[in-house]
Amino acid sequence: MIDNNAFKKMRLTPLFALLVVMMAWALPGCGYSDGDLFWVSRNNAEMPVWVRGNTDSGVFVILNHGGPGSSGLFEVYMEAAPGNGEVDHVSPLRQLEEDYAVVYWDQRHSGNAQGNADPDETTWEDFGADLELVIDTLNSRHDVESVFVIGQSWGHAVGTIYLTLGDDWQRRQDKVDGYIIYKGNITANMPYEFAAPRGLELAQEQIDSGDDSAMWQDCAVLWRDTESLSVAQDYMEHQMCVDHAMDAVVSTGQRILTSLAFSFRSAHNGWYHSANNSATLGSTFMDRVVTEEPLLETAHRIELPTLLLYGALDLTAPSEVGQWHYDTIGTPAADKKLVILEQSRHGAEGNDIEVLQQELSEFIETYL
Amino acid sequence: MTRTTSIFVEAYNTMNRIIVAAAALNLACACPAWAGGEPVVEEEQDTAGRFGLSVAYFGETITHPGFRLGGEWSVVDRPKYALIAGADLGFYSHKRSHTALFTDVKFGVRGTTRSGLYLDVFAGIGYFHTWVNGDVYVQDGDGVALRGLSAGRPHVMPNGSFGLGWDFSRKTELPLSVFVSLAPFSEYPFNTKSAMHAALLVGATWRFRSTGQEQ
Repeated sequence: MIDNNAFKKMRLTPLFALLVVMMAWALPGCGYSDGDLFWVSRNNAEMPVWVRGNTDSGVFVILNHGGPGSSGLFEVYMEAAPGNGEVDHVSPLRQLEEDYAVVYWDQRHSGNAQGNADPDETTWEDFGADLELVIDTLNSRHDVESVFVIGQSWGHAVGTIYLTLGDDWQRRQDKVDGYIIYKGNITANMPYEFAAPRGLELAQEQIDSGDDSAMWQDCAVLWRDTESLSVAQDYMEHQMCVDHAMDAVVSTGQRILTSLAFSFRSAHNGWYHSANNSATLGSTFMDRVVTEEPLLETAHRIELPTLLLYGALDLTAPSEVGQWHYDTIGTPAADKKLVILEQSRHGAEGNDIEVLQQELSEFIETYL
Repeated sequence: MTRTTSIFVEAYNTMNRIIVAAAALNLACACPAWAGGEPVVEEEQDTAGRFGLSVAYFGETITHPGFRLGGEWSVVDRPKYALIAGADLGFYSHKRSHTALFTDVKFGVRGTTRSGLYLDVFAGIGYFHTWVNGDVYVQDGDGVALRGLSAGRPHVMPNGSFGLGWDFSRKTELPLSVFVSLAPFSEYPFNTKSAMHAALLVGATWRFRSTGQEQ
């Protein structure tokens, strides 16, 4: 026999449970329905592609995210690798959505990508083939008239793989109307070569001013004694040092909390983002990213109209790297432009944000 | 290129190792219990039975909704604590990310006060199958993307849970308990490594009396 008093006693507990569930559902979902989100599947990787903005324009701007191991989808919510090191503001690239369709996608074993792709087995060519599948799928799914690709930071390596590596590079370039290199690198050692002397100077200033912390001493030793990077660990240490030298250290806690916070009610999955970041950075793939330089031999094949944007204060992708690319690519001088963002580190800051947005719009309007 | 997150990577890997180790320990503990022998029951037990069925909201990262149906058996049942073996079947969906279907076996301990308030800890191992949410395209080899069908991906699911509940049978005739629990679990393989998750469960368990057990 059931005691009626029992129901009275338990009344508050299920009510509380119901409230918890209702609160969870009532939170505003972000990105659960806007735009067009689909997946491309290739070689053990399932990669999300999110098309947002003005698809009626027929102009599709594809963003290759940085990293390796970062996320394009996260860029919808926050600028993932901001120049000032603060993961607390919207990406300036979002403004492009007003006029064009912007395509955010996550590379294999990066961001929200799923599957069972082994970073240790990933080849350079995989990234190019993945990007081609993204472009082909856009053509299947939308009325595409023009395609522009933004290679952001490491994403420029992905763009260069697509445009120049393998036997099909000319055919692939035919599918794109313009290329935008934003704070891009295609090797680890070229930026290191330019950043190390500037970093050493900054480290020495800190040590001379009395801040002889072990970190600055270690960075000074690295930059003074290491002629070139040969293992991922050196590369990681160099990145840590340049982040400090630029005073743009992205707080690990802030990054994790932000990523997880967006996981509650959005398409972003912080668990997967973290797992992928861990898998990629902990793999021999990173050693190959540091030591292999196939794109140095092929970068000259880029013949598309190209806009290059680099920060004058950037030590991750120094402006000298931008100059090297400008001089090297095969694009005629009339169709390429190098813009130095004078106030910016690894990402547009301050008034440079407007400069970045204006240059992007002008470039796209010229070549669509 | 990337900014280093080595501290985070280490912390993440450590958490994963803890979950997997807990699940392995669970198997070692659970096997003898599953293997049988008569359950140890003390005469002064509560009025509910040793077998329970539970239903629960399964919210991965709290807000990605799902449902879990579970069964549990008190292998050792004493007034203050019980050793419990159980099995679950459930699913959840993270919109625009993935949908998962899972089943698991688990073993744990539950301590209950005279008033009926209880805490429990479980560890388990399960099968976890995921599908991405959305259309999936593959290359046909001629530069044309084709919409394909995905069979999803299989995974192993080491898991645990930390629960807080209220057993009404301690003070009333009602063989019902309600609970809230936090359930971390891992998905392996995920890009050849493992991905952690955590879920919030809110549910209720109905205990059935064994044959011959007095009301």
